[in-house]
Order: sequence, then C-alpha cells, then structure tokens
Amino acid sequence: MANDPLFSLVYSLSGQKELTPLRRFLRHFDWVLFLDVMFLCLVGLLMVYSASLRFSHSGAFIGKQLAAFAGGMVALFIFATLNYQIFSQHLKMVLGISLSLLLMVLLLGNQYRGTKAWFSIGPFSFQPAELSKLLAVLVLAGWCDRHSRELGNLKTLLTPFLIVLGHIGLIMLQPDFGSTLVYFPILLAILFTAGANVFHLMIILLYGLIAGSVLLLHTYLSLSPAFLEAHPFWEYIYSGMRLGKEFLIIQLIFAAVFAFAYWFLREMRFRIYWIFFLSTYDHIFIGWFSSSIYANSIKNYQRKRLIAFFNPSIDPMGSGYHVIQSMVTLGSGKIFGKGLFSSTQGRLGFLPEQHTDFIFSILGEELGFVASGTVIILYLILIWRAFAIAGNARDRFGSLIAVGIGTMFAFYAILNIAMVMGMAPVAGLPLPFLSYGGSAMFSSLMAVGVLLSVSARRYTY
Amino acid sequence: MVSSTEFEKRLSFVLIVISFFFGFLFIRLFYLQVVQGANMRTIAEANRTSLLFERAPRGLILDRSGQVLASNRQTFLILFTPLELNKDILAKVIRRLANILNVKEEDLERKLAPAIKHSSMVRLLDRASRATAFALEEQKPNLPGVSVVTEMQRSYPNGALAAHLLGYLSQVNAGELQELRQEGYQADWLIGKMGLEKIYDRILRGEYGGMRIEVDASGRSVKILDRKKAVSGYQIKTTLDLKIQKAAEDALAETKKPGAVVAMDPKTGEVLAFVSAPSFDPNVFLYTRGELADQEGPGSLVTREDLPLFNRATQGMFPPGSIFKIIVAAAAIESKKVSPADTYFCPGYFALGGPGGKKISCWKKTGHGTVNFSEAILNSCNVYFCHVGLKLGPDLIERLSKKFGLGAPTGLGLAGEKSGYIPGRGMFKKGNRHWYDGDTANMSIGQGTVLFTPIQAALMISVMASHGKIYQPQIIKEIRTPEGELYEEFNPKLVGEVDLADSTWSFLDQALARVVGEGTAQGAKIPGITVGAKTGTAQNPQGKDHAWFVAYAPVEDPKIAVAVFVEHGIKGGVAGAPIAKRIIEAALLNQVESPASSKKIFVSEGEPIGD
Repeated sequence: MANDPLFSLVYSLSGQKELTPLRRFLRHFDWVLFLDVMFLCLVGLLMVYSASLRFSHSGAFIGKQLAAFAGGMVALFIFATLNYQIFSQHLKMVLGISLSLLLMVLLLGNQYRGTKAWFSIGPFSFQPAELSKLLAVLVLAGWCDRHSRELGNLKTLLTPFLIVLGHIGLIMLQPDFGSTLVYFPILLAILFTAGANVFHLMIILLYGLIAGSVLLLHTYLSLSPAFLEAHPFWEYIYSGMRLGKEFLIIQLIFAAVFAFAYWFLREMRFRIYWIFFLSTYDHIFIGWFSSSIYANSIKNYQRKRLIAFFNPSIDPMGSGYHVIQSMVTLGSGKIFGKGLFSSTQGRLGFLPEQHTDFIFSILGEELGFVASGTVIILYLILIWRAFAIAGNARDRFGSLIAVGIGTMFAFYAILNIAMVMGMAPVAGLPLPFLSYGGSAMFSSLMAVGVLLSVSARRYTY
Repeated sequence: MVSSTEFEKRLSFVLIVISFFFGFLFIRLFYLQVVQGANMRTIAEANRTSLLFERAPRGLILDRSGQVLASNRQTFLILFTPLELNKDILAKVIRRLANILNVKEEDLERKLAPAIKHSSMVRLLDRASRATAFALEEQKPNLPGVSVVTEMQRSYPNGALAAHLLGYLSQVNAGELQELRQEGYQADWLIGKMGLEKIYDRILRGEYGGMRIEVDASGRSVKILDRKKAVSGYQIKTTLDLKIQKAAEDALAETKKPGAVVAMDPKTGEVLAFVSAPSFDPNVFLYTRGELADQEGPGSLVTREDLPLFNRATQGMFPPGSIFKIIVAAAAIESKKVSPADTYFCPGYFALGGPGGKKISCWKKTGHGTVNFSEAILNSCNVYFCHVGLKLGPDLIERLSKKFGLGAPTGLGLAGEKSGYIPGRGMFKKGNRHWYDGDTANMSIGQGTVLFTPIQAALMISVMASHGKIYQPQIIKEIRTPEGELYEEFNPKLVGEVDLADSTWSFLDQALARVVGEGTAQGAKIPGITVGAKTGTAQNPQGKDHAWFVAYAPVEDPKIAVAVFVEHGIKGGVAGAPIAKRIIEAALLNQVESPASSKKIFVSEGEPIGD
C-alpha cells in the first residue's frame, strides 16, 4: 500500500508528515516506467540467451549481457537519484565529455569489422557512441531550454545543428553509419517541442529528404548498370553524383555564392521573389552536398542493404537474404511460437545477427505473436511514459530531456522492428533492452535513470 | 518560448506521430505472424530440411508362369559428403575420384561445386559398376567424404527379350517432370519411358524411401529427422509365356530381318508372345558404359536406321495381302453370294471389266486353272478372289472386317498403337474420285489401301480360331502387392462377337487346314497337330515384298493363334511358316524343348522325347 504511487501522491500532498528523501523518492518513483523497462530487460536477457545457444561459448554472451544489465541498473539508480538539473549548469562540460569520448575512440579505440568504435577494458568493450547519444540529448535539451525565446529565429537553430553535426561527424569517421541516424529525430523532436518555427523545421526535413533520396538514388543507380546504359540522362546524373572532391567543391562554391547572395539581399532589404527559388536551389545543393559525404563514407554492403530493402528479391542470397530470412523467422512463429529455446531459423543459422539486430525475430519465432505483440506494446508504454514525464516535468529542461530520450527509444524501437519486418532498410540499429550489446544496455538503462530522475522531481518546487 | 498549451500540443503531436508508427508495426506484425504465419512456417520448414532419397526396388515383371522378365540387381551408389576439408585435400580427393570414375576433373568439380558450397550430401553416381565401387572401397582411406552404398536397380535378365512390351527406364526429363512434380517425382528419378514400364510406372515404382535431414543455413547436416524405408513396387504378372516368347524371338532372329510376331490365346485374348525385331536391350539405359558386353549406349538406338525402338507389332502398318482373304471368304460364304463349289478359271491374271481390261496378276504367272473356293484359298489364288470380291461388293467386306475389329486399335494398351485401315466406299465421299471395281478387286486380295498392324493380324486369326469370339488382347494377368496380395486381376474380356453360321466357320477351318496340309503353308506342318494357316504377301513398292503368316492350332480346339510379319520376307509360306511352326510347337508340344539344347543335360541318352 505504501508503495502505491497514487497513495503516496495523495499522502505527500497532504503534507501530514515530513518524509525522508528516500521515502519521498520512492513515493514519486515512476513504477510503471520502471517495471515496463524491467520486463523488457527480462525478455531481452531470455532472448539473448536463446539466440546465443547455437554458439559454443553461449555462456559468455548471457554473462556479458547480465553484467551490462547489472552495471546499467547501478547507473539507473545513480541517475535516478541524481538531480538532473545539475546537467543544465554544466552543459559545456557534458558536451566536452561527449565529444572527447568520440574523439578518443578514434585515437585509442579498437578496430573491429573495419569500424573503430570500441574501447576495450579487459573482457568488456565499451562503445562511447551509445553514451554520447544520451549526453547529446542532455546538451540539446539544455541549450534549447536556455535559448527557447530565440528558437523562432532560423539563425538560432544553427548551434544545435552544429552540436549534432559534431557528433555525427565524429561517428562517421569511425565509420558507423547506423549510429548517426538517431540524432536527426532527436534534434527535430527537441527543437519542435522547444518551440522552433514549424516552417524552419520543414525546411530541415526537406533538406534531409533531399540528402536521403540523393543517397538512395546514387546507390540504386550504382547497382543498375543496364538501366544507366539505356538512359543517358540518368547516366549523366549518376556521374554527377559519383564525382569526388571536384564536384563537392563546385557544389560548395555554388552553395556559398547563393548563400551570400541570399544574405546580402536580405541585409539590403530587397524583397525579390526569385530569391526564394534561389534559396530552394541552394537548399537542394546543400542536401546534395551532405548526401555526397554520406555516399562517400557508407560502405558498399550498406548501400546494397538500402536497395535490398526496396526489393529484397533482387539478391535473395545476398543483401536481401537477411530481410527475407528475418521475415520468415518472425512469421514462422505464428501466434504462439515454436516454444522458448526452440527456434529453428535461429538455431540453424538462417538468421544473421540474431542476438543483436534481429533479436526481435527470434522472439517472434519462439514465443509467437502473443509475445512480440506484447513487446511492441511495452515499447509504446515506455514512450508514452517518457512523454507523460515530459508533460509533467517541473521545468522545460526536464521536459526536453524526456522528449529527447523518448524519441531516441521510439526511433530505435520503430526502426529496428520495422527493419526486422522488412519495412525499413537494414541499418544495423539495436533494439533497446533486447539486443545483445553491453554499451547499448548500459546507456539505455542510464537514460531510463535520467527519465526517472525527471519524473521523481516533478513536484519538487 | 512557447506557451504551456502550445508545448502540450506539440508534445502530443510527436507522441501521436510515434504512436502512428507503432500502429503500423503492430499491423505488420499481425500480418506476418498471424495472416502469413502458416506460409512462413512452411518456408522455415523447407529451409531446415533436406531430402536424400533412396530408390525403391521396382516391382518385378513376370511371365505367366512366374518366370522373371524384369527384376532388380544390386547396384552401387556413390555418395559424396563434403566434410570440412581444406582446399588442398579436397582437390586431391577430386583428382583421385576423377581418376577412378574416369571423368574429367573439371566436370567432376562442376558437379560437386554446389555440394561443396552448401556442404550437403549428393548422389555422385548412380549405378556405378562393380569395378568402380571396388576401386573406391579400396581407396577409401584416401577419399574422405566418398561413400559407396548399394541400391536395388532395375535389370532385365533376358536382355532384349520382349523389350518393346516391357519398355525401358530412363531419367525423367524436364517436360515430364513438370507434369509429374505434383505426384512427388523428382529431377533425378528414373521413369518408365515405354511399354509396361511406362504404363504402370506408378505402381512399379514403389515408394521411394529416404531421410529427411535437418540442415543448418550453410546446408550442413545437423541431424536426421526421420527415415523412411523404401517400399518395393507392385509385381506384374504378364500373360507372356517365356517359352513361346523365346521361340518366337529366336525364330524371327534367324531370319535376320525386321519383323513382328504376336501370339495369342484365342480363348482368352491373352498375348503369349510379343516380338518386334530388331529389338534393343533395355539394360543399356541402366548400366554404366562398358559394363555390358555389346555396349553401344542408348544413343545409337535412336539413330540406327532399322529403328530398334519402333514397335512394329503395334505401330507398323502394312497391307495384309492374302491373309485378308480369310475375311473375304467368310463374307462370301456367309452371304451365300458364292458357294464353296463355285469355280473360276485362273489364267494367271484377272482382267478388270472383262477381257482387255486392266490386268491384276495372280502370284502364279501360269495360272491355277479352274479352281473352286477351297482350292482358291489353299493356293491363294488372286484371280478367284477378284471374282469373289466383285460379286460381293466392297461393303460386305468392309462391314465384316470392322466386325472382326480391324481398322481400329486392338486396345492392347501400349502407347501409340496404330489403327490400321479398312477402305470402303466412304473413303472417297469428300474427294472427286469414285470407288471403282479396281478398288474392290485390290481390296479383296488385301492390297491397296488395306492396312494391318501385326497385332491386328493376330487378333483376326484369333477371332477366326475362336469362331467369332473377340477377346480384348491382354498383356497383364494380375498385379500383386510386394507382400503377394492380389491387387488387380485381369479376366478375359469378351468385347464383341462375329456372328457367322457354323457352316461358314467349318468351311474356313477346313480350308485353312488344307492350306497347311497341301497349300501354300506347308512349312508349318506339324505331325499330330492340325494347323490352320494363311500366308500373305504385302506388296512393297519400295523394295522386296513383306511376308505375312497367320496360323492357329489345333484347328479342332485352338489353343494358340499366331501372326508373323517379316519385313522383306517376300513370301509368307517361306519366311513366316517356319517361325509360326516353332511357336506352335513351343506352345503345344509341352515336354519338348526345341531340339537338342537341354536334352543332354536332363535326359539320359537313348531316351528321346517327342519326335
């Protein structure tokens, strides 16, 4: 009874008795969120164990994951008890830690599968990019909270953009394409809720759309030589996209000239309508430009995955294989599944990356729609709690943190599950709390800790 | 800074967008797991299982007394399992294997590539020769992954005997596979391509056994899920009599000419012998090259000019010549238009439309002189029959021919049976030509457009022998399950009756017996047995005439009816009679094997049996 949140709420408001800090903390604790996350972790640990059964040293996987979970739980309680407001006072330091972690991993990290993204400490390895996401959320939330009055101005948006670009740039150097994606939705969600001009955000979205579609088009064209041969126009476009530095520089000069023209005319208070067309033109170039950066840094297999997403049957034994097998794995579980630890698709190795990116398929295969549907609902509850906490937070900073964290989880869950079901490209994103991966588990639990901290302090005036 | 309400609005907007995505995920999940679940389960099952089949021993094919016509022999099957060998060892294994199997290394490599890629077991070689199998066993320590197992495989102990009836087996081709896939046939199965093997493929085949093996993503076998024992095919007992069949084969082979022999039991329609020469050895499709003594390989069977795969007994159509006179005579006597005592003068030719007309010559250039009906039959006088034919008109002959079942397939059941042809006035209905007396004359001596297949000739003489009872020619006596239970029994099937007066039948019996006794068929004379027969010569504009010979015996109580056809045999009496004689002897003189052969072994000297 004493642990009932409703009861404690009424109890605390009545102010009958001065509560100890611990008791007060427990009374204001968001039990729904906490239990929801614990349940997800339990499912995750079970599934990691099941998926690792086919390995000879399967104990190592579950052992590491349990250790990460334990560490994450410690972090969760530390961050839950820690007043989140202290981050607001040390934004620069948080940003510094975040960026220097990413920088350090580039200098001191371990290379694995061509990506330099890990610190190795004994038997454990740590991926700073996972932690940086959370830190970036804190920084963005803090900055937007501080500058919320000026957010209506397009120029103001430049700083959060630079913060995000700094992170993305460093992660792209590893290179880890998948990990950079989450920054965009986080940034958009925080800016949007913080009060940025919707029109400006639309422009940013348009930019992202251009960058994304140019990237996809380039990849698609690079995989269809026959099509290029038949259509000289597309051949021309393709060679334009393919060109390296020279083309980038030309684009950059164009963009700079137009940007200058735009700025100059604005300063001179000219009101000329074609300037809008020019700025659109500029916009396209910037989008194109950034897509070129991506195009040059993503790996070949990642491009192929992108295309395989649009048409998995193009290459059923190659890039499309993962998607098809993942769907088969998931679907073959039917309503009640094949039984815990009785996966065949997984056990026999038809499903790749089953303990990490494709863990949701194993869940669906072994426990069926009943369990996989429940997990989706658990994620929805998690996100609903995050946004509820954002709505109830005592200050805008706390709200924005909750929005950022909620968006982060939402993005990961949606993209990963969509990927597993063949609705999104195979981007290599883990499923929070379920996928094998210590850093992700640790930082996710830490993020939940921050959420709980925001939640617990909602009534502290 | 946005107002509180604006903030709340934006917050819920983001949440709604996210929830919207989750809704999509949920629907998609439902679709994949619930709607498509069964399909996906099927795919997943197919993913994890692989089949390694084991052929079932094919059902035996026996003669009427249970002697084996088609059986099974033990053959060697070579399996290859690419264990986790490194490249060097694998290359060595392939080199050694290529050496022993006597194939090119590259070919072998190509054949093994998919197996190596998926680490799955493959049937490397079916029906390996004994020598190959032994060589492989000897080299076993040096050939990791290669295993030799035995498997029962069709074989034909009598070689080419009755090959056209039995048929042969060969690998299912792409076109057939498309049709048969639903029935579970697979790409490297052997199926019957001719004769009984083809008609009864489904029941002869038995049930293939095999193993369902669980494989992992790289195709490696993980465990055996279940194992099915191969169930042997059903046993077919034919109506053939091996002794008669052998006699027919040997006798026809001695002429060294293409031809056909069909012998039937006139009281049941059962086919006792069925020969088409030249024949082929169906084993060549099943043995490895070089394993059989006279090995030409199946390829040459198709290209040879004498068409060994062509079933002359059911597919060859030839003018019946004088054997058709049996029908004409029957029609004449029955209709009473000609009486047995009527005589005509044979000057050696028949002048159409009176003296000076177009001449149809008799086979005896000097003429037979004045002959009565019976004499005309025994001498096979064309002139007499031209007179008879003109008196009868073509319609009666046509009608009676069709009553005998001529001009239509006999329904023996073998694929591609031809129907022969019986002409008549009807054939010119559409054209601008009329039926002339010349046509009638030609028809009455069995030339021109009248066409018989050898099986039809056999049916005709069989109906003659049984005095009008038309039994469906049959090759199968019974079909039994591998356990010996009766599965299906084929009883004699009376499909029609030619209703003629007894006097007509006895006239014909006597006349045909005289043909053997004192006429053109004296070569078929057997002491103690009355044989009725008729010779025939089919005019062949392309070369030497074909010989026909139809006979039945004993005339009083016929037990066998035979039709012999010898391509380019010229005269039925010369080419056909001795063959028919040997067949009838084989059928009726029970104790006697054809002279000499086995006597020495089983019977003490000085105690001859029979003649």
